[in-house]
Formats: sequence, structure tokens, C-alpha cells
Amino acid sequence: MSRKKIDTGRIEDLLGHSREHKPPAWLKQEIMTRVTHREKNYLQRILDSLRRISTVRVNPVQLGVTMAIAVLAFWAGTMTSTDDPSDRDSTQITIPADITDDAMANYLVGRGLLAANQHQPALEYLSKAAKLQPERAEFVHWQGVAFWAAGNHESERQSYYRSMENRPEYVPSLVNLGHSYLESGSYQTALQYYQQALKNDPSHPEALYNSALAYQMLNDVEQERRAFSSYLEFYRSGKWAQRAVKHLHWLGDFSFRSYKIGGRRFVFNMEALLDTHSSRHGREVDLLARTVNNTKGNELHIVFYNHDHKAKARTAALSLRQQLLRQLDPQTTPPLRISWFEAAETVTLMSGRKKQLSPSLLIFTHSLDTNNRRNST
Amino acid sequence: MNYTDEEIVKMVLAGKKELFGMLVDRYQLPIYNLMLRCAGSGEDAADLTQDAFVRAFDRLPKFHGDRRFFSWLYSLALNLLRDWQRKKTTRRAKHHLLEHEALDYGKEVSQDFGPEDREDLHLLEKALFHLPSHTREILIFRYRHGCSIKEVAKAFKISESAAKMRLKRGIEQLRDMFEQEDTNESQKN
Repeated sequence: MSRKKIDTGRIEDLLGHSREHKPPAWLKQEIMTRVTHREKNYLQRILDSLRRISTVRVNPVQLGVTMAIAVLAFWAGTMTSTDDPSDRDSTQITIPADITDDAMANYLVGRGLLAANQHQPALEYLSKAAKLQPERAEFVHWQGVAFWAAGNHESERQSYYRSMENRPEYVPSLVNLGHSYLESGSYQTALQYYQQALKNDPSHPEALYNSALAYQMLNDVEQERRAFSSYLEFYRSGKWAQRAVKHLHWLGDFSFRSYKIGGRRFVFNMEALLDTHSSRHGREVDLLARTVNNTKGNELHIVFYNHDHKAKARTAALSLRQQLLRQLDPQTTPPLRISWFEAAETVTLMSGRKKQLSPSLLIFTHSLDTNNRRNST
Repeated sequence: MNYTDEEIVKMVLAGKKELFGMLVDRYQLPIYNLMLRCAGSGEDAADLTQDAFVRAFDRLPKFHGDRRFFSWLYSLALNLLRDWQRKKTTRRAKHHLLEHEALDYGKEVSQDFGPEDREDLHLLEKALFHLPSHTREILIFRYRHGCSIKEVAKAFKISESAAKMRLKRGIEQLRDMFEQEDTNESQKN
């Protein structure tokens, strides 16, 4: 039985006082970094290009031929396209009537509807496909995905289990079962499915990353650290790699660092780069060389820090420089500047606090367009 | 100096990019919370908040001061969220949320609230999350952030009469949910 009635004025008043989560301390800094280094947007770049084009001298004959080809291409396009306005509506999906008993057709239509966010009809087609050919793991699996999209999590899991009846090692269903249990808070069960998926596909990105999250939720710091490191052994660029690095830093592990090279951020195993005797050192130098080879118009800076061994920092710096120069393409190699300091590197943590790292390695690029160049060796 | 939003926008457009940080300070809390409620993950919310502010920065020349900056920013954030949700539902949700809440994301509680107010607030917050997200967000925009009917209509791309109707129905729905939550809590105790 309800204890009290509440009037709308009170509801409005409470809404005005509803509580809010604090954003992470580093959020503003990240926004300002992106804003400060913001390149011109595409429209501005196009306008700039057009301004440059206007200063180029044009051969009238070439221009005439180009214009004629463009007009011809436009005419051909209008002749071959349809005038049916319904074809222009990208959200409208026309389904052929005669697909009732064709499992593949039902499957494809269901996938299309799912992609168009039409979850209920998608579920009907995918369920039909799964019913017609229950032995096809992907049909039953995607029926599960449609159940998930429709918010029916129990049926979702049942579909994944059925999809694995004939193929117990079917990785997409193992991974999605992991997701499903992770979302419901059954972290240990989620881990079992992710690990089973990783046995069959050791580099599966979602299984690797989410295993780490499951360990995090179970407060198993050491396994969480290992799992994020495993993810980074395979994946070094993109949002999830950056997040994995943040997780590791949060745990106090700075073996992997994210460096901005030519406008993009890449992750490198700093420990492997610093340790010339490590078996992973060569692979890491290869990776750095390949990344650097693709950056034009920049000079590359590599800074070594060692607060009590300047000689070690110098030796490591010169060794890395030599290795890189051996691997870099002499035609496209950017200027390579190496420096070393008898000091620890100071890094700012996500909490805003400072931390001293030694030995440490900082890598960054500097645009050759700017005049402010450093003279390091 | 206590500049108005419009003054800050003018100075940022004149080249003082660093002043954009003042706008971030003012509005990162409501934008982050909007993203958090809809994305459900602290990490996605942080990413989306960054994207919203960067997009706002890019589009500052289009802000003409004919509406409040906050309302303009919120509309932009809602559009970004719609795009994100559309893309997200095409694939199975994968990387799950990163919970640093225990370490970094405290909840702020009003100091002037007594025990009964806090209890009601707790029930209301639970009830809010049973509402469809569209209804919930309209109510929060109007009553939490004090925006006018006109601003609600513009941000949610509906007519003013539709905005009034949705707010009225939303409040009624929320009241019903609140009472339901209250009943559930009573049964637990």
C-alpha cells in the first residue's frame, strides 16, 4: 500500500533538486586540448583550397574538356537514375513478398531491419530464419541479437545457447553471452564466456577488453592489469586502446603510453622500448618505425629520462636513434631529434595529481611549418 | 571577471580560445549528466561530452545570441546523442562501462534538504529512470535546468503546445512512478 500521495508541485520541486554526477577531473583538460589543437573543419579546408585554386593559372582547353566530361557524367546519371521518390527515402525498406520459406532471405531482411533500428519486425524475420534453419549458428545468433535489441534478455541468452548446440565454439555467441552476463552483473560467468571465446580467437577485441572490465568489477587488480595489457598487445590505436592505457595508468602501470604522432595518438609499450634486452624491444621499434614512416611534414622528438643515470639515458637514446634510422625510409624519414635528461619525467594523472616517472620515454612530433624548432641531438 | 556566455563566445571567436574553458566549467556538469543518463556508461558519457563541446566550438560562429548559450549547447548535445544512439543500436553493445564512480564520481546532495526530502529525492530519482528517456530528458531540461517552454520546444524539435502537453503528461507519469516506488519501498520495509 502506498504511504503518501504527492502533488505535481512537489514533483517539480524535487526535479529541480535532482542530483548530478560529477564529471571526471580530467574532462575539461581533454576538451581544451582538443579545442586548442583543433584543425580547421572540412568546410574551412575546402574554402581554403578553393582560394588556393583561384590563384592557379588554368589552361582554357583543359578546363573546357573537364567541364564537358562533368556535364556528360551528370546527364548520364540523370538518365540512369529512377524518378520514384520512394527510392530516395533511405529509411524505407521494401521487403519482397515471396520470402516466406527462404531462411537466408528472412535472415538478410532481418539484419537489414535491425540495422535500420526496426527491432520488432527484425525479430520476426530473424526468428523465422532461425526456425527454418536452426542448424545455422549465425541465424540463431542474430535472433538473439534481435531479442537483445528488443530488450528481451532472457530470450537473447537462450538463442545464443541454441546457436551453440551444433557449434559449441561459436565465438560471436560466446562473446555476446559474455556481454549479457557482464551487463547483468554476473562478472564471473561473463569471464568464463569471454575466456572460452579467447581460446578460439585469442585476439578478439571485445572479449579481451571486457575481460579486463569484468576483473575490474571483481576487484581483481592484477588480472585487470594483465587483461588490459593483453588487449594492448594486439591493439594500439583507436578509442579502446586509449581507454585501456587510461585504465592501466589508473592502476599505476605506465608500461604502455599514448603518444601523439602526426596528429593521431598511438600507443607504445614504453617498457619494451626502454629495455633493449627485452624480447619485445625489436617488435616495438618496428612498430614505432612504421608509424613514423607515415607521418610527413613533422620532425620526431624522442626524449629519455633517467633521474640517476644520465649515461644510461644517453646510451638508450643513441641506440634507439640508430635502430630507427636503420628501419626508416631515407626518402621520407622525418628529422629525428633525440634528447636525454638526468631527471624524472613528470606526468599529470587523470585525478590531476603529478607523478614522477624514471626511467621514462616521451615521444612527440613537431610540425615543420612552425619556426620554433629545438636543437637537440 | 564574470563575463556573460555571449561575451565569452565573442572573445573566443576573436581568437581567445582559452576562454572557451569558462564555458566548459559552466556547463560540463549538465552536459555530462545528460550523456551519462542516456549512454549509461561513464566513459561513453565523457567521450560524448568532449564531442559535444568540440562540436560547439566548431559551430560557435553560428551562435548568434538569439537564444541562451546553454539552450543552444544542450540542443547540440541532444543531436549528437541521437546520432550516437542510432549508430550504437546497429551493433551489439560491446565494451561495457568503466566504473570509476567509487573513486571519482561523487553525487552532490543539496545541503538544505532534510531527511524526508532526501527520501523523496531518492524515490524520484529511481522513478525518473523508469520513464522513457525522451520524457525524462524533457522534464530534466525544463525543471532541473529551468528552461522555458520555448527552449524545450526548440531543443526537442517539437511545437510549444506539444512541449506543454509532454511536460504535463511526463509529470503525471513521474508522479505515478514515484508513488509506485514509494509502495515498493514500503513493502521492502
